[in-house]
Amino acid sequence: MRSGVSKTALMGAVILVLIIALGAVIVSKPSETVTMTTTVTTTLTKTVTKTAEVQKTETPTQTQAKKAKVLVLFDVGGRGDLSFNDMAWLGAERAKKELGVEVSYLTPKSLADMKPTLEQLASEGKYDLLVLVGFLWTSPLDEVADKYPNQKFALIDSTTGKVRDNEVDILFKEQEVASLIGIIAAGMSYELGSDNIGALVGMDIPPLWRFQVGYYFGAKYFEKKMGKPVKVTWTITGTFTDPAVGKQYTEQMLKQGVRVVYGLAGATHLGAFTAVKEWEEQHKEKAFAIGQDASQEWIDPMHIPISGRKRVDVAVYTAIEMVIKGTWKGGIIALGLKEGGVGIATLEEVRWFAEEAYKNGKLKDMTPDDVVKTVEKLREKYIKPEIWNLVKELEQKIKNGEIEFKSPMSVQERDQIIKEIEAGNLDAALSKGSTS
Amino acid sequence: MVEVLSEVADLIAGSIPPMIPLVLAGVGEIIAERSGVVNIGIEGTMLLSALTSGVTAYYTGNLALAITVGLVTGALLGALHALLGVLLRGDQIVIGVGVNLFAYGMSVVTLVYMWGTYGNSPQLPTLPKIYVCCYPISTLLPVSVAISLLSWYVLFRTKWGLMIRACGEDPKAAEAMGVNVMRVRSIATVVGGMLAGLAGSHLSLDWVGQFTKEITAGRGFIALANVVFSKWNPINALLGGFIFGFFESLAIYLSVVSLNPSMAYLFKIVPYVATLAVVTVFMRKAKIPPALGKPYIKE
Amino acid sequence: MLREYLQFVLEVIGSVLAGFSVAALIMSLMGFDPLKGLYLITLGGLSDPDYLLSRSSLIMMTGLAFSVPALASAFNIGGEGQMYVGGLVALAVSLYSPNPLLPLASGALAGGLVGLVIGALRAYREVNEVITAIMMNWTFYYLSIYLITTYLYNPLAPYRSVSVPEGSRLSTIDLSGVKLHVSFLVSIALALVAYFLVYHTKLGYEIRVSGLSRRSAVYAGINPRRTFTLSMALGGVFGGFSGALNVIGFTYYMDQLLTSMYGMGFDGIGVALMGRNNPIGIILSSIFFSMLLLGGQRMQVSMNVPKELTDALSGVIIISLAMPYAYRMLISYLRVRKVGRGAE
Repeated sequence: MRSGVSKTALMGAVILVLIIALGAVIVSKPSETVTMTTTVTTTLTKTVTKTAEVQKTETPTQTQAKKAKVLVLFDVGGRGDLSFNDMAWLGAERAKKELGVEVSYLTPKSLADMKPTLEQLASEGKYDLLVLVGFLWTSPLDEVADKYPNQKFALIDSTTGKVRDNEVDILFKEQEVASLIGIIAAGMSYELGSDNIGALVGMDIPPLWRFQVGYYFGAKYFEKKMGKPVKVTWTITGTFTDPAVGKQYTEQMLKQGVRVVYGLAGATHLGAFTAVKEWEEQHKEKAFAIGQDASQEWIDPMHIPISGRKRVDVAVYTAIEMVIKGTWKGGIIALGLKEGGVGIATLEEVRWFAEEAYKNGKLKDMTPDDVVKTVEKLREKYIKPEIWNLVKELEQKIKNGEIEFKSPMSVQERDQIIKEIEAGNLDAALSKGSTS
Repeated sequence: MVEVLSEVADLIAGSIPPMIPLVLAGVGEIIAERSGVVNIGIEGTMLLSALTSGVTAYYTGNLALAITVGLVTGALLGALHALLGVLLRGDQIVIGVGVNLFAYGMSVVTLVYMWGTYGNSPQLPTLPKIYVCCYPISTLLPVSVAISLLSWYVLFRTKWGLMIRACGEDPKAAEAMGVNVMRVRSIATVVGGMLAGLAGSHLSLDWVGQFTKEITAGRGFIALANVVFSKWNPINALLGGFIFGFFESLAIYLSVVSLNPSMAYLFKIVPYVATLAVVTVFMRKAKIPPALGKPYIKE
Repeated sequence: MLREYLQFVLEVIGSVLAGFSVAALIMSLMGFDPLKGLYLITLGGLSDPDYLLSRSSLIMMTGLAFSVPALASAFNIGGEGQMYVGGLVALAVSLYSPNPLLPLASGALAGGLVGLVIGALRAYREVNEVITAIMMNWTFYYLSIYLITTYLYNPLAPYRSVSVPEGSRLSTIDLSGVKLHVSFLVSIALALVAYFLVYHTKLGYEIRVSGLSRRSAVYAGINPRRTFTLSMALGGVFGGFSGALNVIGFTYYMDQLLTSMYGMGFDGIGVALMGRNNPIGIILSSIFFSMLLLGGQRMQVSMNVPKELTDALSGVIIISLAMPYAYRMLISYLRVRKVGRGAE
């Protein structure tokens, strides 16, 4: 045993020396050389390494002539949330293609990592623009932005509430699209023989409060104009990542008479799509789901006739464009129906998303054409012209600036507004204008 | 009265989908733990099996093949755990933690390579349902009941079961009896992995009909709790899975019916607190396999 | 003693090497430069030592939350919930207290209370700590979110809680040009306290003895129930410290999705076992774990590697760290072969 241990020690010591030597080599030589020495090198990593080298030696002013570099920082969910992170990446990719910028991305491990990471990136100054996606970045940005006046930041889906020269905040008026969806949901629900519309919600967070105000408003707007009562079942699942419980919640809503479910829960509301499909198989009764953020009709065009859009991609693209075209101006931008920041998915958008899915092999036994045709037929059959008229009327009022919605700043305020809307006081949802 | 009865029937029907993965993964873990191997990597195993069986189902449309692939994935991860944790005597908990992280990462990377997305697969074909008094019931319910009964029989009424339990009770004595401890533990771990794999296939092919990242959502850990709840007895695992599934279903019912979104988070707590209460009131002494998690070193 | 430590270090290095080779293999299969990747994932985090150390303090505490009960053979999977409670209580107390000590202490106490309940239920009512802890994790997860959303929210930024007042914060200090978070120093001190407690006090002795063998503990006049409960309570205290340090010394608030904490309790299990449940080992392993984490982030930025791939690589490296015996067995296998060959 004695000799065994000393042999262990000997062998280990050799390994230790090797590691230290290797480490010393890696640390002392520039990464370019390291890349060259490896046999497995792709051209992609080479270029990345090279530009990193160049970046180190050049001053920031010189890099302006080079390809602009943008870093997209997601919040903790990262890509694949089927919601704003994925849409944001779509915008960044478009900017890459159309504006010729270099885009990379980062998903920090937790909120605790956001501020130090942001600080590190800002102090290195390698990027022309840091795009921060999601409201979790608000406080970290607020604490860092003033220290690095030469670093440009874009905050998507939230605002620090302060105007800075190096910071653009882009917000959405979710109430506007949700109110239109509310009317359509109520209309479709009556076509399906129910007066109960539902929403499957992720967590109880400020952007969803805005959706809630809009959705209730739309439903009661329908009630007021059409004279038919509408009940709203707003169900919070407590998660954005669990389609299994999403399905359970949706099934329970369907049992309570809901026939149209608005999905506002990221990946969780994928379960709602399955639930409405199975409901029809099992009960020979149609039920619909409504998608959100991306156009989600292609996932199941027989049961998802429509989606609400929140154009996070537009927001990201706009921010990058401002840097490239030199139109950068710090401040707060709110994107609503008028600005095309939110809206109802048009058939062209349905087609575009279906084609993307088709390219990635996600559309089976269907072509993008089939998707569009199915959706078109469903919309014709279940959303009557008088509903579209109602939608257009409200849309016009919003676009003209006749009415503006409130943004609740607490659960209590949200509860108060919803209570008033349910009691029939639609104006409680508005900060400007009136429905009467 | 009829209405109340139908609501209760609804609740019971609703508690079946959440029950199945807890039972399957739980029984698998019971078999492994009875042999003295703790595998907290079942969360990751479920995740990867949900993915592989989903991919197979999507491209072949053959559900039997898809389930088999899920089982094989589970078996492979079980074999990895056996190799590292049993034969090479690595720390079983650390391996489990690592496997969970690895499985999460690899499942998303695979999603990207398969479908160019970071979040979810397309909709998948699902297992057929059985109708019991017009309630659609998962095909995997009778399967998991059969598996628990069979596991109980094997563990407590056969020579193999005796061997497995001996390895978890006192591996040295087992070895003296002529049992090959390493082999028995390895086999038990592989079988446990397979059952966790089946639980994973249930998630993507039966319950949700889609694969999404993090689809397991902590169910592997609840299954671990179910193992302890069942006192390492597969039949009790059925009960444990049902109780938790029932409370979850009840919480969802309350949450939807109450029409009070501000209370949603409090309803979310119901299944956990209720399970705690049940456990505190009814549970009595559970005997842990004494050699659990301890590597066996042959002299 | 020295040889033991040396061997321990060598084992760790051996397993890390094994892990690195597998990770390098995966990276080259995916078309990424493996050497650059390994360099970044390990040493990339060193570029900001203050961030690295302060980040490691959080999982160092959850590591201790697991390891102290583990010495009494209790499986504390509840570090996560104890951390939430600790953070929440520290936040609430900080609003009324002008100094950081009281919130820290009360957060730790609250976490300890949770640990105490879990431990006592096991010791006196035979309710296994694994169930209680898992159920409590989820309970406190949603309860904390509920309380932050409904009561502790910041009226100007309702997605998060109010901030810890300036006076109650632990911030950075300047040690002749080197910035260092006070929370790191606090956690090092706490780890040393844990070491002292475990190896140089009667309670620590009792914990270790009853962990090794309940029967001999009884013979030695130790009350195993009491020891078990106390060890869980101690674990809870460290879990509480993790949450409290997070709020008082790092982020200064909590968010409605609890993302500032989520998962750190589970990370602690890996950290504890990597450090062989020894408080000194945990100091090292928590720093190593944070290096992987920060390095993974650097890797995403510099190499366009998806976060999930860095997760998978960390998973591989963690698995390899579980393998001290593999290395030892390899050596003895080689030796046996050599001997065998000599005999031929």
